[in-house]
Amino acid sequence: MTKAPVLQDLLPLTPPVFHILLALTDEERHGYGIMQDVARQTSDALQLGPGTLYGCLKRMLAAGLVEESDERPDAALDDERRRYYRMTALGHRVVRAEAQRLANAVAAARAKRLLSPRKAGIAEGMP
Amino acid sequence: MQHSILVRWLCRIYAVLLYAYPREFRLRFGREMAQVFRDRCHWVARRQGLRGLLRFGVLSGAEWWTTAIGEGIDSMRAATPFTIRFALLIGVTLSLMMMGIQVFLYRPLFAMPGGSTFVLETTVVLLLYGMLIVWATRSDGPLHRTVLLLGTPLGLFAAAVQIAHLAAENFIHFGEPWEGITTVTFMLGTFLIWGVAGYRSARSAGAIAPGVVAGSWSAIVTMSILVTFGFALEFSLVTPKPEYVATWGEFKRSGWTDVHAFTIANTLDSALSHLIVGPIVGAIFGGIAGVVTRIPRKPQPGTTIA
Repeated sequence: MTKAPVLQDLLPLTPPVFHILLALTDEERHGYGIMQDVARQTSDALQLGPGTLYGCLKRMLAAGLVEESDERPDAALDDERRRYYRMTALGHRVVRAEAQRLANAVAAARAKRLLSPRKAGIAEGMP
Repeated sequence: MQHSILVRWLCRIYAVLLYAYPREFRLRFGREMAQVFRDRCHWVARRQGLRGLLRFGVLSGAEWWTTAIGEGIDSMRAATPFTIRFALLIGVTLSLMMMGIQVFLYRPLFAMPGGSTFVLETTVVLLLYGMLIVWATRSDGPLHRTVLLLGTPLGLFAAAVQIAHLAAENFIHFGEPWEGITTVTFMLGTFLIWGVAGYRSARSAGAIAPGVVAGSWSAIVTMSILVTFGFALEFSLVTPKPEYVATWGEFKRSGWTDVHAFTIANTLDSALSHLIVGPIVGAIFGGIAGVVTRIPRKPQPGTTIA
């Protein structure tokens, strides 16, 4: 019998995995679509290369966080060689748990006044 | 389209670079990766022009390098002990075959003083390597998890470093003092990699001994491959010219009269010393790294102990 992965074992997620899951939260996407969405989410701060993207997807497929989709949003408009990926129920739970973990971290930073309006620049990486 | 020739070339180069990824990974994702790279290339060419494309090319090269190594190590971790055994035994067999053919084709070697000893010693040590590989890669072997799967990828990596050095030494002439500096750098780099194997195994097992074994095993992997490559190089590709060997101090001191026989014996001697010394040095560096893992560390302020 295969043991189901425990949610906490999968956390914390690496930034690329977290952002890939975020990209797949609202719709199924192909590799380039994921890459573009991650760049958008992070204002180009995180630009995934093909090696990083597919290395992450390989591990996420193995962990059951994402799966390949058989359906194509619009086959007529799309290149049929592209593969689409969608998030699984486990992926949903994991990304929610990670988002919550990050929210808690942000709340802790706020409690330490690291994110107060006066010091907002620090959070944005300013000296 | 602007810069379409450069885009086409970058895509072609990337398609070739994909072969650096493990076969299984490449077959599963290679086509998609090439497609994503092409899409991104076109996007960069449209938005950022020539400068952006060149920057993209450099960044992609760096990304390819790190991820190809990462995936390679990952696939080795997934490899079964049987695969590791098979690959390493092929190396040892090839070395024995190359040595056998070389010696068979030049039997006057045996007429030189101690000529047969060089052949015998190298054969025995290579056979010992074969037995050690079979023993260490038993599926229920004690080395399996903590040593074999951590030490093998790093041993392969160190072999790649040493092969690069051997190739550079034979095909590029740096001149002094650079020749000495590169030799020391490559050597220390290799020792460090064996040390990393030891460190990871010792940390994973929570004891120093697996670090010693992993460092040594890593060196055995490196040497099995390096000697095969060295034989192929010295016996067929870059055999030193007899008139050059005749000027060597070692040859003059040896009392041998046959330059070609001396060249073969010299290659065997070099292989023998690498095969013997490598695992000892690996064990030392693995042991030192194992000791490092046992040094208690002060928690840094602001860091989490998990």
